Amino acid sequence: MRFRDRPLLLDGIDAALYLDRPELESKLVETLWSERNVLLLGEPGSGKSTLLRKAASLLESRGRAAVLVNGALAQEATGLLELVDDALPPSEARGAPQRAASSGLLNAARRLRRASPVAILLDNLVDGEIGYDVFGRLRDELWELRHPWAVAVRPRDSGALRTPPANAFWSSVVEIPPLGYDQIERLLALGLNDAEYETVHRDCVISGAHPRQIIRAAQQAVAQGSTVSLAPGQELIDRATELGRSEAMAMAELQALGRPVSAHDPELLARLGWSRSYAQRILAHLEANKLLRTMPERGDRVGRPRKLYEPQPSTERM
Amino acid sequence: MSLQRIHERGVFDDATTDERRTRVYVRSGELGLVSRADLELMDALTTRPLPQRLHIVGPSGAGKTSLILRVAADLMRLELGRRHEILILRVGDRPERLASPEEVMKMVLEAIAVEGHRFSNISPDVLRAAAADERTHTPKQVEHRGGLRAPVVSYSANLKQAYDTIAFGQNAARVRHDLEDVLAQVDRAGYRPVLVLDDTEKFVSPGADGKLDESSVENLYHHGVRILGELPVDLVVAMHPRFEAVDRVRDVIERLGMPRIDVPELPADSDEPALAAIFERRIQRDDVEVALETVIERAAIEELQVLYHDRDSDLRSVLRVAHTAAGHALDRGAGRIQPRDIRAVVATAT
Repeated sequence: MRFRDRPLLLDGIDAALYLDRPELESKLVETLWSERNVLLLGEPGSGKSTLLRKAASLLESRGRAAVLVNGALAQEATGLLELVDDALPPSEARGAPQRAASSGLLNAARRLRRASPVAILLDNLVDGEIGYDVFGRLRDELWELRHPWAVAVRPRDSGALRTPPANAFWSSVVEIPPLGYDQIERLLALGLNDAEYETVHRDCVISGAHPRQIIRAAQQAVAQGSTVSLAPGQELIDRATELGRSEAMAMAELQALGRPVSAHDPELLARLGWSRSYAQRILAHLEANKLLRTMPERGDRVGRPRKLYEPQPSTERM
Repeated sequence: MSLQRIHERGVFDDATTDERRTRVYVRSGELGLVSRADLELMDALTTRPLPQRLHIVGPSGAGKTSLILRVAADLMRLELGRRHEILILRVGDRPERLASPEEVMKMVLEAIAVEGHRFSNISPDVLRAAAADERTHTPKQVEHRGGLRAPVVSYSANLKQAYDTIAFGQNAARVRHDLEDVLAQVDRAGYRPVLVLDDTEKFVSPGADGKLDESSVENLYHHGVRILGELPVDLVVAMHPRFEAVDRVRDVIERLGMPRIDVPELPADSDEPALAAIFERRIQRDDVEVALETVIERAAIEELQVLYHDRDSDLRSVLRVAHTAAGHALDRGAGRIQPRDIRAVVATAT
């Protein structure tokens, strides 16, 4: 199996594994090329990071400098701007504001000034407040610097970035769709040898999924023979539906969240519109039927650790 | 391939830098508008005594910043009465950092320091851009921003010394006195100081579900606008009309007696769509030698004009549609934007 369960290193060992997505690449690169900004939306595992890396590579091949920045490392807006400053080529301008001179947002933004625009590709921005500070409060200052930005976020984290005045920062909003049938076939052909491909391809439901889900399902299928569907999420929802409508709703939301959650999780409760106690009851029901598994929550909270729930992997259900 | 050049250079796209905003600005008079917001603002800041308090009202993308910037550039470039120094605040601070009048005044003092101890942030590029359409009929044109004039150098040096030696803005108890001192120095140097709070949305919290976060709006007006309005400086506040729904905003506006200047809306019923004049200006300023009708059909301009009114005067978004439609027309091998290009772009975006 040649698949990598992580964003691909396109200029190196993973180049042959990249599934071309020409329409998305073009939307991203052409907008950045014309010094405009793109908000890239994608569910976990949809290929946001890989697409940003591909865009950087394409831009550089056309002579436009590009830098990749991991936004998850930033604790606040000035911290994010410092990460970008570090990633950009050194400034040659004399009299550029010094980092120690002020912690203010304005100074932090102005330190990003360079002689020529550089495409800034920001990945893993999960803190909406940081995003709002940078792309809303600093919007005009960033425009003035003329660096084009592509910022990749999950749709559920994009709210603050699409709220005025930040919404106007983006010339285009591009959402990564699930792979279609042909794309999944090509992806499988890229990552599997003939025998693996045969194993995976038998009796599989393959549509409407993102690359990471496909890859994980393919890995399972190869490991276990042909007993695993490439739509494991749907199988869980079908089984939850047999328990009740609420159970099916909870399962679908847990899958969409893509992370372990407690029955107190505000995002889960907001999505479902349920009280904590009701969520607790339904999640416990799913756990009792071995459709969810649990783990204790780690954290600084005083008292007994909460249970975190996540969908049960198929091997543990068998 | 004129449309190709139009698209590559982003001629129809919305302007995002100050220099371009100023360069492609079309005065309300040239658009045949009854409302002459630019003249009203200029008139208030030249013929009426210091201090004036004004608010510029317009929806997102309607052109508040362009209007203010263009007037600011003209005021600084032309000698219309007393010379002006204009500081535009448009990097908003978090509402929790603006929880007292002292914090707001400190923010202004910090902005002055960031601008090189000067009560102005209108760049020479903007002033040059503003000069582009003033070759024939200006009262008295002054080329003074290639280098700083002596009084500016003088007051700026004094300010720097004050910031360095007595830590301007660092002591909450003295912060108002410090800001008044700055304004007095600008005044003594012979300038009329103008402070602009551009786009109040940057200074408030994003509300849930697209609604306004009223408490942070109240905070901004109570601690910010109200206090700044007590200082000897012209105060111009640009805001979205939805702010007017907040009681505290209306109270402060009434208390300060702030006249309202609305960003004018392009007329819906004129024979010649006002958007055509906007596109013409851009073609002219970007030196693309082409007649407008050869790159965009009249019916397409009319379609864009309808879109402008549908979108609550959001000129920015309409210009973006025009730019994207140019790309769409090129993709299908056409050299002229047609209504179907506009419709295709709008359909894709929604």
